[in-house]
Amino acid sequence: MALTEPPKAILHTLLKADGSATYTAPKNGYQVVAGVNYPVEVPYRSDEIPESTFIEVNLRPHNGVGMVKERHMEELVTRTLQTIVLGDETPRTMLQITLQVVNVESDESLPGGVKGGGQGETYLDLLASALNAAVLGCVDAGVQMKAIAGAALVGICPDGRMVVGPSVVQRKKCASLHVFAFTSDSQTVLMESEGKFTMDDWKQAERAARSAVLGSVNKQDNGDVTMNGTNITSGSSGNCLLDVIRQALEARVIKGGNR
Amino acid sequence: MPREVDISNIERNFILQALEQDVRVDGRRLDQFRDLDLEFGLEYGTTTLRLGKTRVHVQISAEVTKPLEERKFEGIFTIVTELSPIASPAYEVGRFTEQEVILSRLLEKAIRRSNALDTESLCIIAGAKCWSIRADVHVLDSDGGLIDASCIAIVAALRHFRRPDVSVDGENVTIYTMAERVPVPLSMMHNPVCITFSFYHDGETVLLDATRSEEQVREAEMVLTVNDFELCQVAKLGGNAIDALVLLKCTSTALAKGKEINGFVAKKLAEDATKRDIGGLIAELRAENER
Repeated sequence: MALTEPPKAILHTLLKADGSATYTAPKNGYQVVAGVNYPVEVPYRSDEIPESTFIEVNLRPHNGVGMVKERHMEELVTRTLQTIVLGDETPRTMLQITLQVVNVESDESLPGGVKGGGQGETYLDLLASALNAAVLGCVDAGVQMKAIAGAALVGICPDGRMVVGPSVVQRKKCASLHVFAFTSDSQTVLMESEGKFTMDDWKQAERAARSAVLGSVNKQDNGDVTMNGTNITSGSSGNCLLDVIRQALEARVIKGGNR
Repeated sequence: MPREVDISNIERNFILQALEQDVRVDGRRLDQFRDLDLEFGLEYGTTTLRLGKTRVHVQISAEVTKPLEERKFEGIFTIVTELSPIASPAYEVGRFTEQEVILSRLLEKAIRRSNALDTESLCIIAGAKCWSIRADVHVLDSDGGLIDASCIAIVAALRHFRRPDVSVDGENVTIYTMAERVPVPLSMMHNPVCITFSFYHDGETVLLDATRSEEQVREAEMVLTVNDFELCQVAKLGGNAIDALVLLKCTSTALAKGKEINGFVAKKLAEDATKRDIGGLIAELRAENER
């Protein structure tokens, strides 16, 4: 199952940060701006890692200040990035990632202005967007990584139907929500679940997320993926997350080449 | 500790010498603002403002709370400005820099304490329920003129924001969803605009809307807040002394600029309103109409 509507990603949307990206989840969902500073000095000596890069993630909600929920998500994004970033390339430095939520999807059936993102509500919906934005920001900042990672949100309806990237109304009806992140060499690097589900549901959700992130990648024998742009538009995988990241990177590189 | 890059002596002298001949590094006239661009999000009260390379994102939100004990008839309005490392690695999370304190205090003075937002209209039941309006200012890119940019963005966002309609029946308060009733705009008393003046060469050269590097070499700064009719606030925090006549001249410049900026914001708001008004139904759905 591929994404019905692909997410949008633009690289280098900010001017001051070393690397930046804007990621918009499908169906006018969350929009996250990521700003990456890399490599910078570690502010506190105690955080310095002699043989690796210290990763700091700041997640800032669109309204209000970050609290427990944001701290938890920061931790999850940090740990996921630690598995893919080649930290030993820049030891004793810091990779500083700031994720600013600039748009949330509002539920029109609820009274009150912008809703959602309360401390009591689920964090999974934002987690996928936050991780994707962070990875895109790192790509733009030239952070050396083993592989690219992408995350997808999957909801399971009470009737057992899988919804990839559910909207706010769909999310409310879902019996369980799952976030999975995979690297481009199809390793699972993050799995978070919430709600009531069976093992079979979970396996199905994992498969749905995997195809949404990786698509049916046409890998060449040497493990490389062709980047000439032709087989992406004509290929059947079409709009999986990795394609979106690849297209964003192509757009950035080609734009840079013309200047 | 990551620090902001200090301007080099060569660059400093270059900017100052150019200014002596009334030339700015980016080719603008001395009293010219950088290109201003305003974007509204899908939500009411989501605004992104670009002033040259400076980019500020403002989000307005509303919730119902209990009013303050000493102000039973008024709603609550807060402005939150927190600079994050996204704008510059020199801004650290949870540590207030002097710039941040000045920014939030000036915005507070210019917008909140000048009563731009009519807080009495936010009262639902005196002493029991009121609206609490919160403006979150997120600086995404900072290249000088943060005060001016944030102020324009907040006021534009407040004018763009719509809060849900409420009805009071004795003790019972009903808050209607966006789908049930057309949300109502906030009542604004006036639209303040902050204009920052930078002074060079003992007040002989006066610049409007200085960039980050121009800010770093200035001798003094002064922030004037104006609305469409009058001067609301003057802030001059240290720096060289300024002649009274120069100040008067600045005031009239600020008034003219303020009108121009408010006109621009009004035009952008009108454009956004027509975009939202699909099929021309908004006028029919107005809360003020008879039911």
